[in-house]
Parts: sequence; C-alpha cells; structure tokens
Amino acid sequence: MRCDEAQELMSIYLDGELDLMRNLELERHIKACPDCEPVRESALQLRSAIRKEVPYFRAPRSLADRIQGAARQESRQVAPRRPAMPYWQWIGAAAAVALLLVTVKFGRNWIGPSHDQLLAQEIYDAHVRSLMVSHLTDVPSTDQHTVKPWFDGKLDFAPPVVDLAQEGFPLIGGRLDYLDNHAVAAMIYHRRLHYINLFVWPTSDTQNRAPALAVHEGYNIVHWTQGGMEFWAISDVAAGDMQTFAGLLRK
Amino acid sequence: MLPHLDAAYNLARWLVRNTTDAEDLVQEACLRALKGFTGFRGGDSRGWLLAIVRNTCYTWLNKNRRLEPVEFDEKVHTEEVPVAEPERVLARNAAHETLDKALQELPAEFREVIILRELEDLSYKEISEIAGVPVGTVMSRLARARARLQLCLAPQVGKEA
Repeated sequence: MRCDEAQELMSIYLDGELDLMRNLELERHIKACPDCEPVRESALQLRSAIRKEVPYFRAPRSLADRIQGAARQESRQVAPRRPAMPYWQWIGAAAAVALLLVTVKFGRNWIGPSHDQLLAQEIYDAHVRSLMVSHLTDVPSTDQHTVKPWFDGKLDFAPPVVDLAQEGFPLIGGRLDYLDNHAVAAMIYHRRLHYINLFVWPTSDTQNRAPALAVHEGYNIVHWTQGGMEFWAISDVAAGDMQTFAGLLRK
Repeated sequence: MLPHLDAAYNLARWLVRNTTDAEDLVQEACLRALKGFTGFRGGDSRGWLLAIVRNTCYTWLNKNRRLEPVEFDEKVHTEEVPVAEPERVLARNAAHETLDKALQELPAEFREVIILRELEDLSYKEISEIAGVPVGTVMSRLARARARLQLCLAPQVGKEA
C-alpha cells in the first residue's frame, strides 16, 4: 500500500469502516511507515478532542413531559371530530395503538430482528461495501484453481470454488470478508452487468437447507446450507437468476 | 417512555444552535414520529427518529436562513461545491478558535455528520440513511469537516514545539 492511499483511508480505518483485507494492509503499512504514523496520531487526537470538547446536549427533563402532554392533548383534540367508525376500523386502530405502545415501551429488545435478518443486513452491508470502495476482489481471477489456493492459509476452512462461466455466471475472483463473527470466503461472480457476492463459511448445522430467497433493500439474497457450509448469495440480478445460480452451485 | 430523546435533542440543538428552537423542533418531530408510527416498518428506530428530527430542523433552517453561515445558502446547496471553498472561507481565525466554535460555524451538512459520527457513534450507512445521501457523500463531508476541525488543533501543536 502506498502512503497517499494509506493516508486517504486512515479516517475510514479509524472509523472501523474499512474492509478486512485493506484493514490488515493498512495496519501493516502504518507499523512500517514513519510518515503515516503521525497521520494516524493526529486523526486520533482530533477524535478525542471532539469527544472531550464538543458538548453533548442532553434533553432537558421538562421536554419529555412537554412532549407527552402535547401528544395527549393532540389525541384529545382529534378524537371528537372523527366520524363514527365501523367496528372493524376500531379494531385496526386499537391494534395500531397497542403496537405503538408496546414498541415504544419495549423497543427493539422485544420485537428484535431474528438472527437471519441481522445476518441479511450484514450480507447487504458487505455487498454494498465491496462495490462502493472498488474493493470487489483480493484475488482477481477467473480461474477457480487460482482462487481456491489463495484462500489456503487465510481461512481455517476450504470453501468450494466453482466457475460457472459456461452457465452464464463467470467467476471473477475471491475476497476475504468478515461476517457473523467469522472470517468468510467471498466469491464474486458476474451476471451480465451485475455482480453477485457469494459468502461461504462453515456451519455446525448438518442439515442441507434448501435455498430461501429474501429481498433486502432491493437486493435479492439467497441462503442455503450444504455439506456443512453456509451459503449466502446477494445481488441485484433478478430473483429467478439467483435461484438458478443457487441451483447450479448445489449440483 | 421516549427513547432516543437525548440523541434527537442533541442533533436538533447542534443543527439550529439554540435551546428554545431545538426544544420546539424536537417536540414537533416526536409528535410526527408518534403519528407516523404505523408507517414505521421496523428496523432502526433511532435512525428513523433522527431522520424526522433532521427534516424538521432543515425545514426550520430554510425558513430562518439568515441565522446560518453565509456560505450555506448558495454554495452548499448546489451540487458542485468547489473543494477549496468552505475550507478557505472557514479557515479564517482558525488559530484562535475552539473546536466547539469551529463546529458551530460549519455549514449544517458538515456539522451533522460530525455529530452523528463522533457523538452518536453511528456508522456511515446509518448516517447516510438519516441524511438521505449516499455513503460516499457522508465520507466526503466527514473528511472535509475533519480537515477543517483539524486546523483548530494545529496551533497548539505549534506552540508546544
């Protein structure tokens, strides 16, 4: 990594937003480079100065009371003007209010997203990040026999690497990523003008789960398990193509 | 009973920079949030509230433009901001300023990314959702805001040397 690149990435690195590989590269570079260490120091100084000197304004206690008062008053004003509602609308409204109260009171702890939903969010983040910082591949290669050995020594498992160029999904490379508290293998495939990120890591789940399709922020995510591995594929290609892709990999 | 009220108030207070208006705007935002709750599709409730607070504050800021830094109206709102401009204009008197004051004088778009990143510890993606701009824009605003704030620290280093 060059110094200008390292210095440009420094604050992204300190914000914890850099992908795993460049994180490692940058750390290695800083250790060895006398010019970049001061850049890191001054960025850290700025951060601690901001946190020390910039005041965090907490809401005055009276504000919460004021808001609750206003909310009560508003609901009182609105109520008499409402025309009579059929009973089924009352049920709907009551359910909405109950949901509101419960949600406000218990917040995310109570209706928190499931593990798979959280993971889908992580997968989505990793996918977007890989496209965003033009860091799609660590080992750009269309040859599965290059990509597979590249993972050796970087991961404690051997991900299956398959090229599907014949079937219209050429492999374009591999990358290390970090998901669900593991280092994972990311394989990148092309589909016409789109990219598919395929994330693979070992699972203790011995059942082979069939592909399940979900949509997250407009991206199609397919998840399955096979041979003791978790597979998560994400892309903006059509859902049908994603199903085909998953089907080909499971052969 | 009202989660994230401190975060909402802190953001509003930093955006409009006075106590009275910040309180009024947070109240307005919270009432809107409560009314719109059925439209809330789950996910990050803090981000959702902060986005409403931000919108409410920006509507107010647009009505009260004279209170904003002069550069705010014409330049920051246009797509093409000359890179050197805010830094040059805002760099005056940097040597004698406190961080607090320097931050107050940054345009709102730059102020808010610092507040959300450094005081609320939000990720780039969360900030981009609150501010309704791409992650790349969040990154470049943060970089410019930090470069500006860094000027406040530089003189102290000079004095020590």
